[in-house]
Amino acid sequence: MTGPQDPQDPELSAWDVDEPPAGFADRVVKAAMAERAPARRALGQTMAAVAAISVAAAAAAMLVVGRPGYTGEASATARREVVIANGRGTAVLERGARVRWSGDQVVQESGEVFYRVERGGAFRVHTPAGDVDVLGTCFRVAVRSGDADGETDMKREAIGAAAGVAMGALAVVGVYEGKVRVSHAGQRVELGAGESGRTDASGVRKLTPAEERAAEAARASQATTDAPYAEANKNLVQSVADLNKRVAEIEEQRTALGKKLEQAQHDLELAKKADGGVVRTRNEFDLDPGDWGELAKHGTIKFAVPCTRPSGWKPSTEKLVSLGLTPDDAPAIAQAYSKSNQRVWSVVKRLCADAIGSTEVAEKIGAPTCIHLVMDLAREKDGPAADEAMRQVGEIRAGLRPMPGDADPVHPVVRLFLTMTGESPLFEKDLAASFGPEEAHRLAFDDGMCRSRSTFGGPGPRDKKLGRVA
Amino acid sequence: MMAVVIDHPLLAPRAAPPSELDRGTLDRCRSGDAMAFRAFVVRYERPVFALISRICGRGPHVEDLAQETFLRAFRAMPDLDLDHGARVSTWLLTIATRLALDAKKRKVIAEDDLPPFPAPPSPDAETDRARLGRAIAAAAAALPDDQRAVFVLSEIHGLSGAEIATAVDVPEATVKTRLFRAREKLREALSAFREEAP
Repeated sequence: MTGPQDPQDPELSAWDVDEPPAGFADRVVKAAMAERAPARRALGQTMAAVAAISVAAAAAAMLVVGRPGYTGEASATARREVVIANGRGTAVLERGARVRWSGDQVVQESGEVFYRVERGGAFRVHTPAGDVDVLGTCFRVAVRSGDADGETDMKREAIGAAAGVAMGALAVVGVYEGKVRVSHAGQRVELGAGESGRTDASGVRKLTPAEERAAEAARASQATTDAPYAEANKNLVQSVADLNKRVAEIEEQRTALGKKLEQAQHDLELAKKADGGVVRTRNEFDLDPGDWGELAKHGTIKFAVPCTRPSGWKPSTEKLVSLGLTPDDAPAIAQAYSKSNQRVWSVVKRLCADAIGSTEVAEKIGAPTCIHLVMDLAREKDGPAADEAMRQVGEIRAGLRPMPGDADPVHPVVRLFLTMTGESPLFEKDLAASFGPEEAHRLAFDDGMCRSRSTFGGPGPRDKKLGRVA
Repeated sequence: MMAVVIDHPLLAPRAAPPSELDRGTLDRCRSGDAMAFRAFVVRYERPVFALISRICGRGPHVEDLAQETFLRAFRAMPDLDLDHGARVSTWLLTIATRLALDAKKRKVIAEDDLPPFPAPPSPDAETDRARLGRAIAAAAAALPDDQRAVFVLSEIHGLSGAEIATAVDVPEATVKTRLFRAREKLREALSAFREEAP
């Protein structure tokens, strides 16, 4: 059978699992009902303390009494009761009914009881007028004194009770599902779904349709005695309906407010656009070619790179949790930072050493200072060329110029900023090896990560007279 | 070992979410109806057993944990929001997952209960399917518990990232990370299995 535990993927379905053993559901239900009984009794006591509610609830609630054990007894004196007999049968006792049970043997002494019995072995209901054997079904047994039947010939038969049967006792059995066997004194009748039968001193037999209608009328007559409860129940139903109506009104109000909020947010975005503002959903350093095209007009350079520290960046457990990661993720993060630092430093150190004429000094001052030093010295040496280099970086990132190769001769400012602006995607790629591309992108631009953010203000629009190509 | 890129079904679309028990039966469950609750158990017992088996390994502890899962569900049912809450199956699998992970964490499952690490497949003695099943079980057994739970909930039971995040009580981003890693490890393990398979 295919189910949620059997993936459609045929290979994963080869991964075998344990199956529920036979009778598992019954054992669980039995355990659950054993837990529930005391709690429900306590609930019943609480409800009884609130008179106005208890009257209404009496007709509506079905209270579990008795423990589902091997033996027990229950009676319904003031309200309908539900009994779980032996974990296999459920008996709903109408007012006035009384039952005792031992294992799968139930003795119904009086009243009307609805039974639902799970399949599996014999289940017998003994009544003063005869026995009912069950094999998985729903049925109702009404034990009456004979004068409540409301049907003349039945009454006669009941009055003429034979020895061995309580005087006047008769039982009417109605079957809703499955099949039962009604027996008494060697006589037996099988009843299927929709059929009714009776057993009394005169024997066992199926009821004719007319007799069934008469029996039903007798039940209805009995039901009229429950009128006060029915009225209380009606009141309760009305209260519930009123509450449901109120909930529906609140839900409508909530929906209307939600729509208003949505509209307000939409209007706000439109207003921002109308004011020339830019509605961004990306991080301000998560730049696409269009963004670079805008920046290139003024030669502005922006980048955010993993921070550089001598010993690398190793996030604390608290930091990892705040990032949505676990302590197990620390090595992967640290490794990505280490690789990033090495990449950046390998280029910046060389540019810095060339600019100041000393590798040793470059190593001493480190990457953050070197970056600014390379830029400052380039401007000092040839300001317009440095400005032009900045514009070119933006244009390359915007796709307006080809990307120079590693060995191509370019202005040091171009090389510097291509390195810095290209580092974030490389860092993201390293993270993706451990976290997947989507998560890596999120992490690369998460403000909780250690990053160095820089914006180098551009020289402004290109002056064509001064424009030079490095 | 040389990495082998394979188009493995582990990355195939997830199974469709299970159909839920009807609302009427669930309402009766919430009111404590024994027969309705029995129908509830029968409807969901196989997914619960499957989930616990795959997180904790097969053995007698599976039935114990499954029973506890349903009992907890029964206790919590009166508070279950059928209109605005999670799907019932998701809610139940969340209970099962937490119980299973807690049992593993507290080491209440005796080591003897856990199945032995599968031996190398013997082509003469097993069918291809049985060997594959053993290989998957072995690869999954080598995963950390948190990654295995996320993988099972996602790939076997079809829960969304948000649902899994609730089930294992971590941010959704963490779920994605764990799932990514679990897939990578299983992919690698199964590609090795295929290389070795006759």
